[in-house]
Amino acid sequence: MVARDEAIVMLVEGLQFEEIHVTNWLQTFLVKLRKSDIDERVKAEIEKKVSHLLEETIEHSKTLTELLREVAGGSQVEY
Amino acid sequence: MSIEELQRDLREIRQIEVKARDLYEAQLRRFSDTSIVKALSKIRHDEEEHIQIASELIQVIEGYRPEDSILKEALTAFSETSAFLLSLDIENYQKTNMTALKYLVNERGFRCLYVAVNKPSSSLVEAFGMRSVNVDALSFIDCSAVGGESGQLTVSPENLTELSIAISKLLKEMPERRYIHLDCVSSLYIFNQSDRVEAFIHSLIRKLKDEKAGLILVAIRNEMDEKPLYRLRSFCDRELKE
Repeated sequence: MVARDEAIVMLVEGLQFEEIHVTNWLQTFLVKLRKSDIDERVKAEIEKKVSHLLEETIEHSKTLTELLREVAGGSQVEY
Repeated sequence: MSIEELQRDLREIRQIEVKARDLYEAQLRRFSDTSIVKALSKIRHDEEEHIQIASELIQVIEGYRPEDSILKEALTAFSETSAFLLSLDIENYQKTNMTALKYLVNERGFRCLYVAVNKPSSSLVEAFGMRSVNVDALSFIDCSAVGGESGQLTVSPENLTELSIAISKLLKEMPERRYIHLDCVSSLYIFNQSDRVEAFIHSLIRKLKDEKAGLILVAIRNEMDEKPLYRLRSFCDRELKE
């Protein structure tokens, strides 16, 4: 069980990690992949899977943002 | 962006996904609120999947070899007495046909007698020139231009006897290290009965082997039934499928 302030810090840590590290790397990778000389068929296969990772990562950010709103605006002191 | 760079980036992505999973695992040990635990468990589960996907992608990249290099490697066995069937999916037809031609003419130094059944030689010369194919090494028999408008020798695709004579005539004028690039045999089936096309190809292969000239027989698989394709395979020394 963690205190409200600590819960906020932990959720922000997760959100920052998703947005700054994971999303950034995946988006940059997709740009590089599209510019690469890999055959179109292989490129499409990789792009599909990386796009899936990116979509789910963006969903994670949304979920963490919602949790943060609930915790920050909630009346509980511990989570 | 090289393959090595993509590999390195994917390894980094996998490492980041591992860190994300570890982060949520550590957080899950501390939270007790049901809604937070449920949401973080779902995210942690996704991260596990992401690690797996990133690992699979690293394997895909590690095992990757450009399609061109596979075809070129197969074509290294092509010689002045070879008859190769290049059976292509319609999606790969133009690109692979161009790659094979460019490799044999530019890199292997073959002279090529190009039998153009699908497109007039004038448009082919333009397309080949744009892809830096050495067009000076090409001679054409045009089976799709009307009335000799291309300035090349024109033969009706329905007249296989005349086509055979034209090939023999032009072949005599070509120096050593030469081959016929027939693009494409599947279209000859539109204008002729199957047995006539197959008799023509059979006779052509025999003649070319005698004269020490190679043959690339391009076939679009989607346009052909299995049976004629089996026959063509049996006539040729090797089939390259793309």
